[in-house]
Amino acid sequence: MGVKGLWELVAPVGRRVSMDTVANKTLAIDVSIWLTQFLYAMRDSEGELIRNAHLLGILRRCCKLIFYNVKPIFVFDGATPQLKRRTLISRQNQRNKQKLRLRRIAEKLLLNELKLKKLKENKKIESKGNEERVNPKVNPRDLYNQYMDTVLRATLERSNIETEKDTDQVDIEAVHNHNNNNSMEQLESLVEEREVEAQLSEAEEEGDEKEEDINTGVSNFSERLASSEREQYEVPDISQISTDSLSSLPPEMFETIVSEIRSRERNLHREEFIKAENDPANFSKKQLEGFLRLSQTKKEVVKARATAYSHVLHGRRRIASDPGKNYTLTKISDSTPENGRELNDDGQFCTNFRLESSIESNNSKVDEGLDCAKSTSNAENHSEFCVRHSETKNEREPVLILDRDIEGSSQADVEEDEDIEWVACPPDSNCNFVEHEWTSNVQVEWDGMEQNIRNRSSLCLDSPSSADLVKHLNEDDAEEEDFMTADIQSAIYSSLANEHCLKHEAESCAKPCESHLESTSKVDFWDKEETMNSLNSLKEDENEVFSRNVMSSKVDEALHSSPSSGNHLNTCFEEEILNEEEITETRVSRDFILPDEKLESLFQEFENERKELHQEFTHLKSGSDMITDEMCEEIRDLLRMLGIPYIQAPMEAEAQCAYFNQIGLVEGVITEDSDAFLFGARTVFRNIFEDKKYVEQYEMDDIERYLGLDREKLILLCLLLGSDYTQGIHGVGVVNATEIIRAFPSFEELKEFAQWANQLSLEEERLSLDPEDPNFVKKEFFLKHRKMKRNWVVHDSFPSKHVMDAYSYPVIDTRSIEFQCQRPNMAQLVEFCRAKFGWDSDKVKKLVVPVLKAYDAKNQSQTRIEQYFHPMRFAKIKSKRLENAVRGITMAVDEEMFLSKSKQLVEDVNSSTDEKTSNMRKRRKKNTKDRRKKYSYMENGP
Amino acid sequence: MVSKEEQNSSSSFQFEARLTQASLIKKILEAIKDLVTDANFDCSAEGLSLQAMDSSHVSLVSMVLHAQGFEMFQCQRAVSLGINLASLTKILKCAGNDDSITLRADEKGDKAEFVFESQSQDRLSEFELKLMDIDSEHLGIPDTKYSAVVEMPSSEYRRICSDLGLMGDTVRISVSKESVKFQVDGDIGKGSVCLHPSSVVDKPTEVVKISLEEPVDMIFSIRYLNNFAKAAPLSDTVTLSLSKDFPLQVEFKFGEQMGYLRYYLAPKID
Repeated sequence: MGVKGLWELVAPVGRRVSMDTVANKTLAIDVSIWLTQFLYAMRDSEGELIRNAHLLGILRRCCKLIFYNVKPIFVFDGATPQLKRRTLISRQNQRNKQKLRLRRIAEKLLLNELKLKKLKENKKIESKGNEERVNPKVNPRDLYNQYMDTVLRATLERSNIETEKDTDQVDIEAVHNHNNNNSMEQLESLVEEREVEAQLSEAEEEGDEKEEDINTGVSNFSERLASSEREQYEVPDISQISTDSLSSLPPEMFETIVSEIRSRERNLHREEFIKAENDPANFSKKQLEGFLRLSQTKKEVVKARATAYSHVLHGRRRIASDPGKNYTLTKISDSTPENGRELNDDGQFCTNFRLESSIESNNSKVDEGLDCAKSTSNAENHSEFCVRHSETKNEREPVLILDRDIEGSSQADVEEDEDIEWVACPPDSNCNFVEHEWTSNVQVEWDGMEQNIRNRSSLCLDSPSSADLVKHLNEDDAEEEDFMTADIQSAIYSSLANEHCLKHEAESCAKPCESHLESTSKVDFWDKEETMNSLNSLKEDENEVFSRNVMSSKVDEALHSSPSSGNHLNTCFEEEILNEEEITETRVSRDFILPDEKLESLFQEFENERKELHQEFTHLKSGSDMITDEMCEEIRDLLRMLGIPYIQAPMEAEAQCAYFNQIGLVEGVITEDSDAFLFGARTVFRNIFEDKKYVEQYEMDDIERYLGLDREKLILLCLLLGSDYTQGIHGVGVVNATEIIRAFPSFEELKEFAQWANQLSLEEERLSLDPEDPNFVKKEFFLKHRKMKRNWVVHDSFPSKHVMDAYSYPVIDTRSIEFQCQRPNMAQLVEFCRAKFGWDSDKVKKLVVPVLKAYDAKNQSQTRIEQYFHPMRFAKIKSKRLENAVRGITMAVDEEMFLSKSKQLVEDVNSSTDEKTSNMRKRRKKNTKDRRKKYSYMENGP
Repeated sequence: MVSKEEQNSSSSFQFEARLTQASLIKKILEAIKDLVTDANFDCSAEGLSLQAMDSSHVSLVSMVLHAQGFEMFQCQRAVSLGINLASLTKILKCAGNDDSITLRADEKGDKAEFVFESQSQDRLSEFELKLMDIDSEHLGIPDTKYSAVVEMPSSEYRRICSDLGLMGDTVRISVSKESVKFQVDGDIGKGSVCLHPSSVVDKPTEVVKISLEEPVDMIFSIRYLNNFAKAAPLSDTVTLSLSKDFPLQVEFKFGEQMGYLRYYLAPKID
């Protein structure tokens, strides 16, 4: 923004004047800078952008201006000058980098939170001491589950923030695997282990890593989580990419990513197949899984592509009011139940959780699924799950009857294309199937009032037909994908059908849930507990592991549902915590019990780290928003209501403002951008909204007179210092630049400078200095800067005539325009504020009425004394070298500006040292303080 | 009377000055303490001066006591004494009107000493006042040739201000060759006081003089003019100087060569 360091240079001629000085003046304002400021600064404690910050900021500032009887003219930026593009691109890069950093910080934050939580838990455990139930089956994976819960929660919290802040859809899919050690211990055979491992999907592999190093694993995981955010630079697993994020990418990038995903997916499968090759059943299952995943990927890609191109077709996407703010959380946990009767038995426990928010609430589940799919691309994404349960509760019976009729069921399934999750139910095992699904309304979500909750049944299957499955699979291989999908489904259904009694029980479990489908999440929660209880009773003979899994899954449910439940959030969390405590109780985590003091210190450490990270996170986030056309349009509306005239500049608003100032249409320019001087502004007001009473006023006359810098020299300075248009010379700051301008005060002479600076020779050493020489100044300069120039990077294009011209002859609207301020329209403002900020009319009136009063009572305003008697300047030139340079350029020197001079004056008069003076000040300061506390004076009578 | 003991190394004080009449300082303080709460007393070889704005920055007080106006004046280096005027008032209450007053500031600069000596020299009181660090803006007052200068008895000025102050808050001062007119337009009605230049010069202190470059018509806040009237005891006559779009200057002179107290008041504009 502006010329680097120019404000610093001109500060000594600036004057701090009262706000009243600007009263009754017509001032031009460059809005774009304001907007940038608002987006950067107007944030709450969490670092989120305040809703409609731009409008609120404009309203407040305009009110202040009108209150002080300023007649503002707003100028909007037009097209971007060619020269500025480069700067903008680099800014974009900067922003991208910042986003990357933001991501990294977020990960750290997550990790930190996990550690903290762990510590807290440990504390809890320790406090329980001996009462603790010692469970010999120590399960590090349980620990890991706990971590995952935290990750998920943190992610959710973050996603909350982001869905709100960043209007883009944020999808977070967490693939989560519980791999139960207990069963592994029991099974103990190598084959089994290998099988289990082979079964592990990519995420599961991660889980294995976590066995060894939980923290590393968690960080990996969180990385993956983070990578599912919009900016994806490494291509993650397809399950981590949402259709939305994909489709929001530019088409070229989209294609690249898709192809990469595919090839990776393929490689992955191959690897898995190799692992499982010794076990036919497992191998076939692998095949099945691989196929499912591939087809899923493909479908997702197709959908994403459709969405992506539809975006292209429909032009720019509305960002500010995206109707379907969605996020999805999917959790899959695999566990091997302990009582596998056969060696090859493989239990898999899959829980898929999904939380979906969609704008429409539907009652019919099938329709709902479809509608959801339509209304949000996200939902579509999930409707693409390769294996689907198309049946709703009421449909289940028919499906069960379906027997092994592949075609029939596949037809039915394909027709009922909906977004119901699929849960893998491997054969020959006590597979527990719990599926929960919620679909909630987005708007309602935040209010937490009503939501449409869908609770999916829990199924217990015991199906023998692994062979069947393999067979189906083989058949399927030859068939078309869609049909194949259906085939697999039907195969599963058929296996389902084998276990009638169990199913009936499961249904009975599901019924309570069903009856409460529309209930709030809290009630829902209890329902689930019921479900769980009945499940437990059902599986009484089964292992604890299962119940624990259900427990933890329930915890997760509560977790997932909590953001959507808004007001119920707390209750849910409380319950969740309770549950977690239970889990904690049932587990010994000896590894993690640390000595108290160490724990305490660690705790502190993490706490501090968290704070720091959070701060940085907040800070980084503030730089990541952009100004949109929509914002500008809203601002124009607001300005119309306030009766403030505005125009659209053909190019740079700054140049237009400066032009108005030049021709006397306005008496000054309000800006934070020092470019204004270069465009020819005469009077610039700065920091007008920083202080209540004072404004910094810069007069071009002063700059010319006291700094000896006219517009041309300022532009030359800009060439040296760098600005939006040019990079400047790296290594040259204000002091050097001023010295250069002193020695080379014109464009032509600057070329000479460039030539010199690019020379490598050291001929300066031989220069003889003679004050009489007309080139004395230059020679002196050469001599003094001969060492410095090595650090300077002078570009070939320097000095650029283009930049010079861009400032000297900017593209501006030179038509004569008449501006007229109107009285603010109260009624419209009330309506506007209600709509945009949710203010009631009282609040608006409180703000606007004094402004209107000031607008009406324009006559007889009291002036201030500073308007007539100029105050002392607020800044002085501190650099000795700069002072000399300024003295060299200009003849008329105002001694007031120089720090050294004023010091000298004092020193002339007094013989005391600086130390004394500072002591004196210190003592006085103390007095002032004392006096403020309580005034007293000493009395010494004779 | 003028005794400049410059570079008198025997004194341990950076600054020392003695006035024969404490009443002058007391009156000055009375005249400014309602406008200004804290002020820097700037001591230099030329004398003692003070410049301060009121809190709303509408008026400015500028006081100068020339070195030659003191019985004894000695300043080794320029010092600035930051004083809370309410505190100074308390100390000055302890001084009799005819007492001589000695002001000292030592090298440390964290306190100022006041010594009051009665005329008969049988009573000597000493006070120490803690100094403050006051950040004040020093305004440059440009030398101006005013369009209209009105000299009038300070009692008359005080009376007009207090009378019109009851009617409204702003007064319109119009100066022409023939007269100076103070007009007020308040809620209850309006009123005006018109003064003509005295034709006969009987008592020099009751003279109204108008010297005019061009007629002036400006409005001011009466509240501030009333505040300025508190300086009336300092001088028999007051000089109002006006120029269009420039602050009104109200000057009270302390007598020959002693110094002056000037008030500046920013005008109101239509």
